[in-house]
Amino acid sequence: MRTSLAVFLGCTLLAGTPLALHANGGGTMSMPSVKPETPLERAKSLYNEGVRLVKRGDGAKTAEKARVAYGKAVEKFTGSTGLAPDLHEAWNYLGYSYRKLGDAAAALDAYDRALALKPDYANAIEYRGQAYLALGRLDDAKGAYLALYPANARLADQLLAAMRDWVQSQRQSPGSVPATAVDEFGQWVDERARLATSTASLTREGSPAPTWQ
Amino acid sequence: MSLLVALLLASAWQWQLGPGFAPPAIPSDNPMAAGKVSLGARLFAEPRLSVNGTTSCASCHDPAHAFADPRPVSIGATGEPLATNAPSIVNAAWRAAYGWRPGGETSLEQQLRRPLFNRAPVELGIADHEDEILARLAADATWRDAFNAAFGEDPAPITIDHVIAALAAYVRSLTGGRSAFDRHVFGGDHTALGADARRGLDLFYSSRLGCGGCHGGLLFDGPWKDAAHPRVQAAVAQSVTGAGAFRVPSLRNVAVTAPYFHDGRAATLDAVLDRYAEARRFTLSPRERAELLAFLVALTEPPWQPAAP
Repeated sequence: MRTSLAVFLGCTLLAGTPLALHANGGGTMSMPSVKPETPLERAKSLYNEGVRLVKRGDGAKTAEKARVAYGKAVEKFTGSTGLAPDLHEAWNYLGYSYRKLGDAAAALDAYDRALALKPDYANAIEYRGQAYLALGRLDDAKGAYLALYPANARLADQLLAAMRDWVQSQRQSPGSVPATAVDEFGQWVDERARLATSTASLTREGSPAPTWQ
Repeated sequence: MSLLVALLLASAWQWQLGPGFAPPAIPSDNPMAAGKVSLGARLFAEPRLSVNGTTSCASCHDPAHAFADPRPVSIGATGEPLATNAPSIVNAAWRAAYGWRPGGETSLEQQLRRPLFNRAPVELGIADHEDEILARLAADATWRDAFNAAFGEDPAPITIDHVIAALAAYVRSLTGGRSAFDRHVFGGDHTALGADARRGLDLFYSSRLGCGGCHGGLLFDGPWKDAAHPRVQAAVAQSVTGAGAFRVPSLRNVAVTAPYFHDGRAATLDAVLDRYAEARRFTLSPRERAELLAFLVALTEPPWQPAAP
């Protein structure tokens, strides 16, 4: 998703609607029409509040407003996962919020928790790939891409775009990763881009098992 | 029941899949199990499973040729030639239907009845000889142990249904995904394909050649094609398949599955390219031909290793 959750706009926040998964993470969760009472209901309520804040952060006009929104979202998702540690969507968005605040290490921890609960959670795999990039863990970022490539071409393409952006930014403003490693990674990314174009018929989104007929 | 038998019976199956491959769907009434696969492997190579004790599944699906038949057309137990070449059965677990022609069986359990029971032409020819063949197996203590290991919950485990279940499980275990192509594209090792093969990949998927349009997906295969198919020119159908519709076979392991086409009409990959170049009216320079061939060879896996019991 690169950095935007604009696709969220199509999601409803109405209580009582079924859990809706949007393109890059969990959507809002169904809620009873009465005041939440159980820990799970409270966790879902906090999650939904966090999702609203993430949307606000993604759409913020200034960096400061975005930072405030993501900071509040972290509080909501932290509360949600504290009450319901099995909500993989909440862990995923906790990671997202941390990453938008620039805390890639905390984001990675959260994505690890999401993926421990649901190892094939493609959205979290893609986000974690971006966290690896931010931490300069290039082999792990490659692994994230290769996990997505056969199963979810759209998210694989998004991570690949993030990789290209990362290489470009590193070349413009070198960081802690050596230039030779950046170049090597850039070549790897370029080859993936070429392969993604020429072998598009190899991967079938939504149909991880190969078949014919 | 011995401890070994009990352990084999209870052991769960672990898929050994290449990168990019997801576990195939398995029929609920024939789950994978190590003992069953081991029995199936042995049955697959057993000539006593034919009417006259001369022919096994492996006689036509030769493990040395990625389980394809190196002869133009396969030969049944009684010496009768079949109409088609036995294709590779590697990765058969993912196929939605079987056989060269449309209307084939949709499960391996159904399909296996054809080579076992066909009367015209005879393949293994066990029709009307089931009791005799089962008695041959039951007379051998090692077979009794193997059937007990796979189907020990049944007091009389040596049955045709169990023979078929074990063979189907074994065939499903023949999975690929370890070729240079897989290592490059799915494993991310961009040194796996040499420069020629890498350029051959681009040619394969180019609109000019269009190979990937029919040989698609992870298995590099496709549905049945004939002259009536909207994506197939009549000239292609005539030159490549002759009359009627035949399925587009998998190109995985294609370097060791000669001869090619349903009736083995092309002895070499060069001959295959000649046919397609003529039918699809494209030309290949000698260098391009070498590159395309290098790519096709890169779809071939290291020598097949039987699944571990």
